[in-house]
Amino acid sequence: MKKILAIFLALAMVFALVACANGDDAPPGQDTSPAANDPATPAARGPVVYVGVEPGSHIPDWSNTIGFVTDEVDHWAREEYHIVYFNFNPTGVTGQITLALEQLAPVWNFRVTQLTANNDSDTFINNLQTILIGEPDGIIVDITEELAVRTADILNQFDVPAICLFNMAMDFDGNMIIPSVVMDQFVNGQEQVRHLASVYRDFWGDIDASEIALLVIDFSVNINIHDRALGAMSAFEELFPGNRIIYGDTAADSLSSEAGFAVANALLAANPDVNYWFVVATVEDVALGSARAIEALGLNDRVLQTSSGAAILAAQWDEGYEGAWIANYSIPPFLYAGVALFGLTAMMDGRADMQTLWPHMQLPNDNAARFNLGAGMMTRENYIEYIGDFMRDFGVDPS
Amino acid sequence: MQQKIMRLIRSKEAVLLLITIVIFVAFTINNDNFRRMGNLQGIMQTMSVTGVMTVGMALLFIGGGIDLSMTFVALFSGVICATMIAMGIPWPLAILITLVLGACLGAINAFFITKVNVMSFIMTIALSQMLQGVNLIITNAQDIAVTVEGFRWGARMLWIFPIPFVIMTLLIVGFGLILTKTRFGRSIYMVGGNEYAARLAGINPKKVRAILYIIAGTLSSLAGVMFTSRMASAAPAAAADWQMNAVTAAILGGVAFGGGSGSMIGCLIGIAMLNIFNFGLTSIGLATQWITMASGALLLIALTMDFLNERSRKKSLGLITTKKKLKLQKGV
Repeated sequence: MKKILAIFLALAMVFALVACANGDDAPPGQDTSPAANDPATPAARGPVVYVGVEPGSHIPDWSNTIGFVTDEVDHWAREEYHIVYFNFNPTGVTGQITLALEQLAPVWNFRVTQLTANNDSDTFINNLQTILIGEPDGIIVDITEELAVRTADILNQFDVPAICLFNMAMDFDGNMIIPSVVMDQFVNGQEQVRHLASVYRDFWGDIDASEIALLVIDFSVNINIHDRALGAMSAFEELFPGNRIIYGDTAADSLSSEAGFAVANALLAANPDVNYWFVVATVEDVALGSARAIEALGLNDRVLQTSSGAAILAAQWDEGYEGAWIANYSIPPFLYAGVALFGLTAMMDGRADMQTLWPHMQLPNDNAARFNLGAGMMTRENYIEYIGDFMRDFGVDPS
Repeated sequence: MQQKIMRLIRSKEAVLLLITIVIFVAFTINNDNFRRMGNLQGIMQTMSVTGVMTVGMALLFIGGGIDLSMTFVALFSGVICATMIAMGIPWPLAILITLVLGACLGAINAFFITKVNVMSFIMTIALSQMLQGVNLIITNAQDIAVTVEGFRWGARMLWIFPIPFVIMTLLIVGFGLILTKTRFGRSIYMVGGNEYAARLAGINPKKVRAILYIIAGTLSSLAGVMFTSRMASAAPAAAADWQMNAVTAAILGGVAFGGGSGSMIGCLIGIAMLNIFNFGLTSIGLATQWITMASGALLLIALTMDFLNERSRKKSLGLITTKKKLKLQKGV
């Protein structure tokens, strides 16, 4: 009886799933994520401030503009500030931001304490209150969008200057409530595909462009990361109209190299008729797994891959990596940390507050600025200089 | 001979194998490329890491234990191994030291569970969290790249089989033989099935369980090294669900969650089923929400099978009295 039941359950499930897949006319891997058909995405983004795209233009001329590195304030004419960097979840990027802040501290007269909520919303809210009771001079918070309104309430209650990193702190109507330093995720995805389109002939010669397909590896439950995937697909459709787009998603698993390996391997192997691939893996950890899958399938000479970030690929290049993963859209941690630091310093000095900081970066209904960072592509040829230049711009010696 | 064949056909493992084949055929019908070598090698690669952990988890289940620190022991081992190689220690020596470290972590679990009587899932969760913290302290949440050529064996093939898959298969065969052909193997079943009876038979259950935790720690460590070798990188958060996959695979493979029964061949089929299922769903382009739901359904099926097995076993031992028997006993 038990065996019959087990077989019945398994068969029912398998056939139901196969039927689900058949019912969808989309080719294997095409975007069927919940957010894919959402007309509201990408979210209203506002202007993008490009920094560091052209050599020698890493810091635009913002002299005497409040809240920028070039605002000509003597940071040593005051007491040392105590800044807390409080992140929702410790990741490679938050680790790099911490390192950047620690290196910026002796240059710009502050000390930093790093704390994390270990991926727990309740812990985040409780610990945020505890941190603020300790009266730091300012706080840099790395929140999820769901926590924005509650976080803003607590910050207002304690009246401590704050800046958000990575995710926009918006109210339920989509208006900014805490100044946020973010990356334009849609542009991120677009730039990755544009880069691949601009270099593929250097690798593959004069091939027929219609033979190129795009594999996007998304993490659809995170709307910011999903915006990258949407940007990549939109740019690909624009540059290669009619070419195939295969959509992969690690949301059923995790943002990890193992998940990236599994998704990339399954989808690349399932489409052997594709001659040339662009792979956009939206996060570096996933890209690492995807790069290993490309190697395992022997596709290094037929795939070009990009991702977003400045850590894992740089470490791979340091160790001599020369595979299909050729570039990253990269906003170095010093840029994130530096921009946030100078905005926060202006508020701690009393030269601005959360409503008046960077007023030209607010949209009509916003109560705070959205500093949309745009940057450039980090390649094997430029990565040491690329990262080093941002460190120098913020007064830190890369050596 | 005929009886033997019939018994084999009617065995739990044969049913599992049949279900796995049905799943594979269903995906192949949907997409002919599913049976391509590249895809199969990918499945073998991915199942190796979880597979090695499943061996440890299955041994613990059979012996009546559980280890929820496996993922972080593996990640910690990967980080330590990569750090040692980056410091210039020869990679074979680094692997050896890492495996010893894994055994030590297993011994810490064993000490607190068998000597201090801390509940196994609490102790292993505690160790897991400690290792998660240590990982972040050591790495500052950064990846450690390891591209020393010799260390990349995890990405290489032995004929058509990935080396990690070969290692996993050897472990399954080895521990399968230990379970069925040795006194220690039989004592694991006894300890998991009925600890009191095992004690009466002269077996020291605490000693058996301690050995199992040390084995599980070593195997987790090996899984971490294999993963680091395949990825050429160690990360403090390179994977999330290894141990849950190991639990699912072991139960799918017919290992009793409550202890006392299960086989290594069942585990192998369970791991294969789980990975074919996951790869298949991805390759047919099923949306994430469906994949998540299907994975939950698979675990539910596994647990239902486990429940039915356990009930059947208890019935055969006379531990469950059916209504019919009760009526007979009352003379109705």
